[in-house]
Amino acid sequence: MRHQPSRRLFLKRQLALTALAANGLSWVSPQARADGFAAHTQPYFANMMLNGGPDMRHLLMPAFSSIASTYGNVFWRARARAQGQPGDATNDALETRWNADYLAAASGGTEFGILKRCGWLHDMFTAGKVAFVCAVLGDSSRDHEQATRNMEMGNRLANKVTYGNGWGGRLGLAASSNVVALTTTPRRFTFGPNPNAPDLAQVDMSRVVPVANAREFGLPESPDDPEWYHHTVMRGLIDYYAERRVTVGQSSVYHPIFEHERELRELGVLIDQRMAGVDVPPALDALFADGSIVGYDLALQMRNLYDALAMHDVIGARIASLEYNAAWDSHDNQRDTMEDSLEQLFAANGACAALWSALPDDARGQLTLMIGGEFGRQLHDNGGNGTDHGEGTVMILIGDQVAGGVYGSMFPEEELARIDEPGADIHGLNAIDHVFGAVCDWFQPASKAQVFPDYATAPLEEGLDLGALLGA
Amino acid sequence: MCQPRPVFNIFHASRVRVPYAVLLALGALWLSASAVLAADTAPATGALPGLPAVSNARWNDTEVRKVLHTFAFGGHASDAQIRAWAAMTPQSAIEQMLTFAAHNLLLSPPDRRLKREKMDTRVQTLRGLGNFFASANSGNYMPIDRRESFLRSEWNAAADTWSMAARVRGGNPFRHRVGYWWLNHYLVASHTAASTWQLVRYYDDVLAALAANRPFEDIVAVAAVAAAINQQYGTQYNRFWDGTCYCNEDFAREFHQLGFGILGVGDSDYHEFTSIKNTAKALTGMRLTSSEAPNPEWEGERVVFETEGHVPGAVEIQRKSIAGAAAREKIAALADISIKHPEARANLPIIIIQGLADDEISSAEAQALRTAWNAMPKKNLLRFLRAYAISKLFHARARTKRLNSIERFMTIANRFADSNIEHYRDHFGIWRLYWDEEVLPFVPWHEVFGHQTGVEAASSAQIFSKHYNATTQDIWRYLVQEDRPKDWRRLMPNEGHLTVREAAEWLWRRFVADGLRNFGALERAHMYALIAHGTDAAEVFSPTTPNGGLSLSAIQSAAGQLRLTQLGNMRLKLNHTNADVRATANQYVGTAFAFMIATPFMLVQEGG
Repeated sequence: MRHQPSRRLFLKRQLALTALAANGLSWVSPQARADGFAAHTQPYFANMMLNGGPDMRHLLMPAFSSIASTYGNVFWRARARAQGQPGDATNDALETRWNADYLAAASGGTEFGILKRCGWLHDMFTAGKVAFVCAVLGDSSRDHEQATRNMEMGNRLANKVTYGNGWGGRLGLAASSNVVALTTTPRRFTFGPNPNAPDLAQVDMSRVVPVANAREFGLPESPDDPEWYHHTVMRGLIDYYAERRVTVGQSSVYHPIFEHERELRELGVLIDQRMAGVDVPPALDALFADGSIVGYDLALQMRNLYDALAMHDVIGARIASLEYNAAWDSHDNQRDTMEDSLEQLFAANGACAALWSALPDDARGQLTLMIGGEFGRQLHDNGGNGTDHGEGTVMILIGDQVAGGVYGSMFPEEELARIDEPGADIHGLNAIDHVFGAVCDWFQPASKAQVFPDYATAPLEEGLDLGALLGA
Repeated sequence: MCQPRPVFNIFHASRVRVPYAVLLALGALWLSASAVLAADTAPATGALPGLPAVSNARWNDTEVRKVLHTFAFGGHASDAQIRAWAAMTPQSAIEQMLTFAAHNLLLSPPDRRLKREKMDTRVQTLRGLGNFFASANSGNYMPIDRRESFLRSEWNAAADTWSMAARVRGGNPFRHRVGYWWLNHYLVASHTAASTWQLVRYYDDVLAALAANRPFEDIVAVAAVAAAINQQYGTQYNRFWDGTCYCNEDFAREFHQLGFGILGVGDSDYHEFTSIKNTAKALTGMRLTSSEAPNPEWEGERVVFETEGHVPGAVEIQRKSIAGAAAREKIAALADISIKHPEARANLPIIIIQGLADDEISSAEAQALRTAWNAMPKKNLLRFLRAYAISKLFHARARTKRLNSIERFMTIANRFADSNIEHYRDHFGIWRLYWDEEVLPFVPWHEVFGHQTGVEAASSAQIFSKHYNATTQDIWRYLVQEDRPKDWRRLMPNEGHLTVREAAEWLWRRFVADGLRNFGALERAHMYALIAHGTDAAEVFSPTTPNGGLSLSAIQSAAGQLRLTQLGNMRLKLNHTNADVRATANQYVGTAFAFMIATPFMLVQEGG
């Protein structure tokens, strides 16, 4: 629903711009066009975290083979229960499952299948707009909390008690971009470094713009002539926060809360005005409707990303942080618990498809979405028809500027010798320093070294060149 | 740990033939009774090295309030009781303040206005309270249209019952604050997986073990094999047959990691490929059954520990041989070993204090906590918390505890309500917590890794705006109760015969509990104006230009200081002979209250 901005709103906007400028936020230079979007002429990166260590091998299975001792047979047998088959399933049963539920794909001699319920992802891969970066190494602890933190910090070697800044925040500093947190609580990925002490242990939140819901952002205003008690209290609080804020130092534990109020009030005016001119596209609106396969949280994240792309000039952010919390930690009944979540993301009527169809050409042309979790799983399924924690995982990159294909070893033959060993897992061979570093260099040339200063000693498969991953 | 002899062995030895059903029934009785009767206990009192107590001189009303805010959601102690505790030595006071008994009538005196309720004699388990609140008992003041929600067949009964248990006068909010932490942040069972019956049973079993002074590791062992944990992790399906473990290792890993903070650092291969794998084997042979839940297999609140399907013989975990006929015995034995593990000794005390009281523990503070924790031969959580609560560490300025949404809501509600009726009629609108902030007890944001933390709440602009909007736009719930103004005389000292300054300071001390540290000129000006005139400070200090706001410098000017003093010296009209005047005076106090809880100082607690 479009709203005509009122004079009062225009005056508030001007005051808000003045206030933001006075606070040193000179990046705010709103420039909307008729569709409510500001033009996209630079890369835009969105990072989505799947918490729980998703089993990407379930999404991307090797092509089934009935020939014993081949990868396509041994791996399918080891994963029969996770595929919803009995542990001693016949070749015929496994092949039926392969034919019925996976869409064939190939890249560089590797034949594999993408879960049929993720048809949009298959289509995008076929169109050359999806890269699967395999055997990604983020953390070896198999501990959710530590691995998630290390992945978001972009620090493989951090210990259990290191709480540093995020690689998204470091990238933002390198590229002079804010980072918009589209989650209820900003993820560590968004935390920036202290610009005066840019080591991993220092955190600075000044570049984080929290937008958990772009359509319900600002704080309510009080009428000029309060009549009701709540208006009186609201007017008092507006005055109070404005005055008290300047007396609270940046190191105070109360400072962030004062900052919330300031951002919600000052930025809220600008965001509310911009959003008034941005209709929710039908495809994204449909995600919230009865009958949608997409849950509310994911639908909100996608709409938020759309809105963030529209108003990137208002918030000065070309880096976005999202999360999708679902049944990724699939220790039991993996087929039942995980496939619904994958479908919500990657089906033709799923969240990503809706976003992609709704975006204007220029926004879509500059957007790269990276999706992944904190670690992978073990090679063999377990007695609960699921899989247990492992190491190596797959990062999925989607976008017009992605040079589609499979990067890294998708199904290393050496796994066959280990597949029946207790705890044997997918090895991480390609450090996040290089994988995320490739994103950094695309986003901001030569920033990899700044964001991942230790990349030179980080492991990478011999012969793997991630330099061509982005910028197609 | 001493292993109790099962009753059935005695009957076999005497060759008395007993019907199998009787044996089963006796076994069931034993299973429940032995949780308390046969266990070790650990002393709950005594100083601990590493946690020297604050001096008697330092121990005052503010320190007492900080303990109550952190460990009892504010509690219900009267101002007089708080002064009494402040006048005692901290060591004596804390033994009265923090107990795991069902009732603590000093911390939570019963609501004497509700004559039939007799909450001080009611069973305080979640099961017992749920039954009571759902009943037609004449002492039940819960509105009839709300009673059904406390039935365990209702989807939110566990959360609804818990939120009452932690707020009603006549119980023990400390016990429920710890119970909340245990199930929502420590060894989590989520309502997205576990049934209401399972959650309630788990909660009650943990609190019973705490009240019985069981060693901490025993309580972890009780929790580890609870039906709720089984259901959460799917462990009840784990079976060991013919040398093969048909298991998932989910809880096998989390038992070590979440229960004891053991990650296998420096020994990762052994931890991963032996300890975790064999813990999965130890967690075999359990089956759910029920006394109440209609669907035993997936809702059942009781666990049967079978030898069939359980790994025969001992298993090696943490380089020890762990023996036991069934899962329960093996896990109990394992817990005894795990509590001594170097990582547990290092990490558990940090996990506990970080979850309850301090967001930012320095390495020196961590060492102090470890010293205290490891000084206990048998770890007693109550002793540890008591020692910590009166320690220089807890009361140090460096300590920071940001309130999560639940902590904030419960603390404000506890300090605001003067009668249980206010909770029963949901004056505080707990639905806002559930639906606006999307925070439900027992539905943790991060599943088994715990609920929304205080750090998350504080770093979320959205959570801030929800609280801010609820406080301002829905202010009437603080002003009016059942079409009558809230009567602040019921809580205020001297029955409300106070000056504006005294009332404002009393409010700040009661709710913010910082000893007026952050109650500066701006806070005073705004709250005095609201209490005295029900209007914002700009209108009072600058009546000709109210839209210009009120600056700090204006308050600090000579004219501003004079005005502030004048306002502060005005007397409240809470005892005026005219009912309308009294009503207005009460509403003015309510607006000041709403203003106060919307400031950042209500959302974070500092130690000093």
